[in-house]
Amino acid sequence: MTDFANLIHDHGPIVWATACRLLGNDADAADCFQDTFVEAVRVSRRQTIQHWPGLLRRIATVRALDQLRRVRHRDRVDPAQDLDLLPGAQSDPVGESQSHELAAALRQAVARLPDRQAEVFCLRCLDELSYKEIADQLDLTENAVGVLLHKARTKLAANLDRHLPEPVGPANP
Amino acid sequence: MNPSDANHQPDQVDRAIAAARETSPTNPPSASVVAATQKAVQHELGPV
Repeated sequence: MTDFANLIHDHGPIVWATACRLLGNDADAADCFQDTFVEAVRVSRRQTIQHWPGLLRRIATVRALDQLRRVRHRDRVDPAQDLDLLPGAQSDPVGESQSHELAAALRQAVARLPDRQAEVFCLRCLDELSYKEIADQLDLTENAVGVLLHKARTKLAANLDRHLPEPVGPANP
Repeated sequence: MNPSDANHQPDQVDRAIAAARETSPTNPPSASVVAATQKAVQHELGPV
């Protein structure tokens, strides 16, 4: 029988890092962290787990995406408004403020992607898994991973361009 | 590296990825989060 206390100890940091990168704050990451391990218990009842870190990272990614989508539907805030909710955002240096704005816009844009594209994007670009690792985890070919990633990046680029202001330049008369 | 990554020029998406990574919390899960998770897992497992 799986020792879940050890599992949380050994693989908790992976789950936590995945949740934090996608959700951007401790409180939401805490919910995702707990949900991930409870879901892992349920999955382990149905099948033998060959690779716990891979399973846990995938569950954490799916759960975090679910949370992002719930928040998006509940709050309907745009990235610029989201900035005002960040502690100290008003007094941040410009660079840090822009980073928060970009990160918030990316999270909202990822939440709009189809499930598989969002998963592949997060596993590749936020968790930095290889194409092969992603293909193994999602039962896809590496080529399919590449296609999904390309589609995701194209949609994200369009979304970010639409929601983020252009850099300020000289005013045209 | 995958061939599709070769010759890749950083764009708005890359900058957003970097921003998401650098603005995310880097602390480990707190003891209270771990304890609450262990309790929830134990509840899900049921009596041993």
